[in-house]
Amino acid sequence: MLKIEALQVVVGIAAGLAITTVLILISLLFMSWIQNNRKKRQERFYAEWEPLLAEASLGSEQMPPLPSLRRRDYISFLLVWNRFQQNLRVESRWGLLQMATDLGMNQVAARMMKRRDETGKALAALTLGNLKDYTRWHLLQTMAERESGLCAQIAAGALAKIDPLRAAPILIPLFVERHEWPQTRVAAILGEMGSSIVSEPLVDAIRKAEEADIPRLLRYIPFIEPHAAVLLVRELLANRDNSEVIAACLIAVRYLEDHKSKDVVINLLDHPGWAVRVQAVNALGRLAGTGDVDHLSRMLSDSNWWVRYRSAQALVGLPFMDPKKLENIKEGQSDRYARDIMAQVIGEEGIGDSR
Amino acid sequence: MSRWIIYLQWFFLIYMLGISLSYMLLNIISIFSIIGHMATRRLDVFLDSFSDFEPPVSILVPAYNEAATIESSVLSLLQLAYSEFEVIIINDGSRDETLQLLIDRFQLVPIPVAYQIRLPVKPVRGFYKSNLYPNLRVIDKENGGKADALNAGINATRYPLFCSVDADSILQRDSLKRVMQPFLEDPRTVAAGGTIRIVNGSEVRDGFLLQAGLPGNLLVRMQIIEYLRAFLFGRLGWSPLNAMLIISGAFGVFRKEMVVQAGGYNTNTVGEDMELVVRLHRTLREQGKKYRISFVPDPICWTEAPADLKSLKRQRTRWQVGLAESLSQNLSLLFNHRGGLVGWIAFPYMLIFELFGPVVEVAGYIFVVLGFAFGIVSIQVLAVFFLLAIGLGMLVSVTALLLEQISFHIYSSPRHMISLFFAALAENLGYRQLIALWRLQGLLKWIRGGPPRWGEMTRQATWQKTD
Repeated sequence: MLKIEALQVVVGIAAGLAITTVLILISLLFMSWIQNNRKKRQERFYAEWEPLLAEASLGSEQMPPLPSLRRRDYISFLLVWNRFQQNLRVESRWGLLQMATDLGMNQVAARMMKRRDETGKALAALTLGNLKDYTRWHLLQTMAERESGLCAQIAAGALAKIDPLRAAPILIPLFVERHEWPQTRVAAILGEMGSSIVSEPLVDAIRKAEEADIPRLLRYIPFIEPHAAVLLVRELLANRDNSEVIAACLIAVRYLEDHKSKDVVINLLDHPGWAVRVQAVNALGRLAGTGDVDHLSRMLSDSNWWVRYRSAQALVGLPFMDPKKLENIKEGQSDRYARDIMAQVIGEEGIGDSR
Repeated sequence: MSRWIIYLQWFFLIYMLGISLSYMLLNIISIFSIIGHMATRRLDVFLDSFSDFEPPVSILVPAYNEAATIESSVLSLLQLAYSEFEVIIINDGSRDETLQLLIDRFQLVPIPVAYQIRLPVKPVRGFYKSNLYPNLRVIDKENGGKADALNAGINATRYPLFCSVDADSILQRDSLKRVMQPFLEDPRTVAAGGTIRIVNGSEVRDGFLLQAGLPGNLLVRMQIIEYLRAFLFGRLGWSPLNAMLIISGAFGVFRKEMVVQAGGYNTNTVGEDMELVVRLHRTLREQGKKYRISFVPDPICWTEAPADLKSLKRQRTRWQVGLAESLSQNLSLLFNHRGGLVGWIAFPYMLIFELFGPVVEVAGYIFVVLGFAFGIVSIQVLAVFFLLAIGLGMLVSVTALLLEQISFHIYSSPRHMISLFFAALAENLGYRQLIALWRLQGLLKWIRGGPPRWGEMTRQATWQKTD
């Protein structure tokens, strides 16, 4: 049998468990009460402040006197104020900026930047960005460069809002280094800065980037001014032989509709890598004239299914094609796989009766 | 003899203590993860993002005799908030009018397809496209089971990522956007899943959840507690360690090439969702590749729980068979020199506490009860065993509730909380033991062998409304 001392210890633990369970119940009820109260208080807060923020955003000259803002409501105010900022057009924001300045939100946000909690810091950075507070530039720059994750991304966005011209040479090297920053967010910041500002430093960064980073960075081509983008892509196509870089360049050629690269694209139809051939076919689908149909037709017999499929899609998508011509191309194929893939794409696009 | 009885007593007590302490440890990791996640979530709305940069996704929906719900399921999928996706329904040889319903409602027309067979599947009878929705396609194939249907879908996908969705899953408009987040934040991500919640008692319209609620049925309430435990710390606890071994088949996103390279879904298991994730871990670790399998704690998918004992028994025995098959078919991951935390901690944990847990648990109950009846186990040991098994179990269950309250507080009213609290206590007084018995039966069924069988669940869907 178990020793009595050991039993006493285990019974003690069990009693502790029972007490902890009851304590958890109490804390559950307490938290539920707190959360419901907080929710009600926030609803009251928004009911009071949202009309004022709406009026301020309309640029009303006869603003009613603002109620005093308690310290515990700072976060709620900043959340709703930033939400208004995000949803308004630039010209409607002046009144909101004035309101936040009158309430001393610059100082509040600057103090929050020095706190330890990530949410507070991120909210502060967002606010300073929306306030276009130049005086906190270095705080934001340090946050963008040294912090990780959300805080750094929001600080980068804030810098872009305050002064895109000054921010571009700081942020673009960060976009190259920070692989973990979602491209959707980087693209949003680049869009905020505008292509006239980001073009040059971005082209420069892509030229100097490691080969492994180039495909990722080439996705930002839409934010580079077309002329500079075309030159960059041609240069990369001429000088690089990494398959992933070439495939990324071909995606860019398609996007830019660079007809002068057509010969290079046609040459790449015979590239040993199927991922390159697929992109070459996609690009040619955008650039092809009547004389290029044969190039696309022969790709219908490629050994890779995706190349065949994209070739068929490219042919079907050509502006000068009609159902009869497509049917002729299909029937003219000696390869069964080529005929089958044409039949599939014609069927998918609902052109004629391909059965 | 008496020495062996003492050893056995200690074995059962230590096992019970071990299982509860491991839950507690996972719980602590989860609390840190969820606090970080909730902080980020609050600021999500302020993070501008460029939706053109979202990777396109193919949504795969295997459907077998789903005539009752297929229309609303497809409609809800087509309304998901995401920039580019296609929906592929795989009619897996349904014996009801699933296919005809789809043809009529979505104006499907047959198309010839040069089908690319990258994963072997049962013969495909035809392909259809919708004249109403250009991103909707249907594959009609011979019955081969869920895994076979998913493989047929993978063969037909056009996009590099696919999302497997059960035909009866209830989603939220932002479900896909949320589950895709790990792929945007880390290019090494090969798979991601989210929290599955129980829909019974909630209000659903046209395939979307309108209002979460609690069902009157105590059996379902106890399953709500189980789900909270399983997802809020069962998975959230493992995810930061990149050692999560399950992504629910009800809603999960995968990188297609990785899945194809690993051989696709295994058609010889009833736990194809877990088996795929374990195999992905094994193959990627064996190849020395860097990868992540991530978990999004947000509730993104709602599913109907069995409301009767018969269906629940079938479900749990099947889950246990699935678990046994998933682990046994990937045994080389266990203590593999490249296994990392998955091979050295998560896999042994699953083996000891999840696979063989029911054996020890049931044997423990029988041993102490019979031992006490025959006078070989003292009243103290009996009391301690039950206090450990039930007391710690209750603590773990109510901690899951606490985690829910810290994070999403979906059941926020004090009435709901008290009701769930008592369900969490009641769950340990008979329900958990019954589940352990069924899981043991599942384990025995696996040992006996035989072809994988899903069985059928009686769906009530009283929460479902349509316009």
